[in-house]
Amino acid sequence: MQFTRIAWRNLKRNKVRTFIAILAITTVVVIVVFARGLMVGITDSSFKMYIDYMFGHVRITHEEYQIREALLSLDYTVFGFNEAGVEAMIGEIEELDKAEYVLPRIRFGAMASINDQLIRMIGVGIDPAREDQHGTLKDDIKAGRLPEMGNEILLGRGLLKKLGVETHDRITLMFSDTHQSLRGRTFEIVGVSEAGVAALDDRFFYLPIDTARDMLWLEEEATELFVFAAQTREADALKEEIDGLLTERGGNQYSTALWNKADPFVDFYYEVAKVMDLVYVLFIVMGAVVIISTLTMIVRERTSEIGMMAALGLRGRDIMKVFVLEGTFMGIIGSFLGAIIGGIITFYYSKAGIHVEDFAMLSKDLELIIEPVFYLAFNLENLIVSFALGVIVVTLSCLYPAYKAAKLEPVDALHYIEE
Amino acid sequence: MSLLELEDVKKIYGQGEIKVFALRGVDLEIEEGEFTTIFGPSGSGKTTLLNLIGALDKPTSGRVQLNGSSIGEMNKNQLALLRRQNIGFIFQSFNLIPVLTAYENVEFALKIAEKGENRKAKEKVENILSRVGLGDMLHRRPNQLSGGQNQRVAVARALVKEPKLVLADEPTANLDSEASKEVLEIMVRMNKELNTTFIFSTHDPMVMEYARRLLELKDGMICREERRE
Ligand SMILES: Nc1ncnc2c1ncn2[C@@H]1O[C@H](COP(=O)(O)OP(=O)(O)O)[C@@H](O)[C@H]1O
Ligand SMILES: [Mg+2]
Repeated sequence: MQFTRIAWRNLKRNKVRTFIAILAITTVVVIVVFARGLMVGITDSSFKMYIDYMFGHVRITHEEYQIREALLSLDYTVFGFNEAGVEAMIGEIEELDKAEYVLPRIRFGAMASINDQLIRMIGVGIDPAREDQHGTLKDDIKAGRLPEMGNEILLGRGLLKKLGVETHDRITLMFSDTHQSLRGRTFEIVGVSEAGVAALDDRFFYLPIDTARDMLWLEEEATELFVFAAQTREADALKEEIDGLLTERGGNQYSTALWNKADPFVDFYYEVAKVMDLVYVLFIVMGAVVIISTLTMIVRERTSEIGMMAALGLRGRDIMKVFVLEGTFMGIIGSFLGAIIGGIITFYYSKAGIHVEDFAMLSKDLELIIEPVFYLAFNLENLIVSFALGVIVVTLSCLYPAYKAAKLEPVDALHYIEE
Repeated sequence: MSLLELEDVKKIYGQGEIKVFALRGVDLEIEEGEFTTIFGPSGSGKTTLLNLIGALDKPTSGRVQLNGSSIGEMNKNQLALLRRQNIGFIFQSFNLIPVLTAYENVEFALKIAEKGENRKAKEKVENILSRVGLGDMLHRRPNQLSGGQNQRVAVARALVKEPKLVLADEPTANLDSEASKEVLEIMVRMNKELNTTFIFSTHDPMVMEYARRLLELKDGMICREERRE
């Protein structure tokens, strides 16, 4: 109690110095909040579309499919364990701890000829019941509804324009089935979706998976299973569980891929995002250096006071307490301000997003399914963690100078003359 | 047994080539309730001697025994505890905690010395401060008090825990003669009223008139001893 009072009042002895130390802590904590918000934001919002539309957190395919993916091969499918059908397998996966839900897909190439122009597109067979419950496809529908049965399809907005059609129109598409024979089928457009990314909206259409199976001569199978965890960061654990299940159930022909490892660009981009971690750790180190030098300065200035306190009978650890408390107060004030300011900034950018024009161009060229906007993640956990991190690092930084103060010989300290 | 016993105490500063023989063999006994003045020119070893008596430092050789325990054998923490219970210090440069008021400075010393809460703490602190004539300046900080007033706070701080021994190293060196007189008179009075043992040092012959037992120090040795009433 006594030490707390002294430490608190000591803050006001050199107001400028205290202000600068607190400002440094605040700045570092703001950077930490921002960097962490950006990290989580990038994975949760920028990659969200890629995860939702293209991959899931973990994707299960036939081993061979991965190699031939660009060809949209229909020869290597997921056919369940022992070819017992994919539905039973989905059921088993959904039993897993980390698995929230599974979306089966059949992707295949298709074309349409409009005014002598050949338009290439990608058809996706979806399970209407599951998509209606989970996933983002239903949320991106701008007009109409999900295809539910028969020859109903949902088109991306861009594709709709390219084909020159509208909702409720009929359109005939061409595709080749598992026997490599070119066929045609006429569909009714029941909905329009818009994800906001050309790579999706200009090329994709969706139809019920049963219809896809029927027209492609497939049985109860899928080309891909997208498996979702409750949170992106649980993807690794989810993959492990699935791998375990595959081994156990004799599904060795299937392979699993983690969302951030499949596409080299996503992998690279994700690694770059992780550099943010390093950046903020560097800032923390810098902040710690500021605190250590500030406290060392304080200890030197108050050397004769330390001698006096020793003469009063304070032990080394009591003297340490006085200095560590002073630092901790700075840590608490600075980190609190940092968490508040950082919170305001991340909240703003979680709504407004950070638009990076170059990135938008790049992702368009690469036909990447990544949103060209970074949304920061705003959450209380980040603020609390950053605050705690600030206080802990500052307090730890104080230990060394305070220890040196405690180690001073009372006589030397008492008769210390400032140079 | 005396309160304080020194036996052939030597203190040598520095190792190797450059050695300073600050004390060259001091024998001394001080009884409870004595008011002792150590007189000597600058550099004669007064501060060194008081540091040893006050358990702030250990002798190079010889024995310093305070209240029955020998300080040479104690570790840093034990010395700290010995000081907090038994010794009050008054320094030349007032050395109060600048961020605490007069009241709080005195209270701090009391709380350090007495583990746990003392309901009479407030009473004690106010009492001792009014005894040194600062009853109406309890809530001033050191920078709002004069040098003499600061030194009186230091006296109160040294006395509040009712120590066996109060040590004052040239307590008047930074004061004008008026303030010096005040502080010395308070010390004499407290010695009489509370029967506290005082040892104070000075190089100022003017101050010597307050001495009742006088030890003269020269080149690290006691060269003269005198008792007056
Ligand atoms: N820490 C020290 N290191 C080296 N020499 C010291 C130290 N402290 C005091 N001395 C020397 O010891 C002698 C006695 O000093 P001191 O006890 O301070 O005398 P006084 O208080 O009477 O002026 C002096 O010569 C002084 O220079
Ligand atoms: Mg001296």
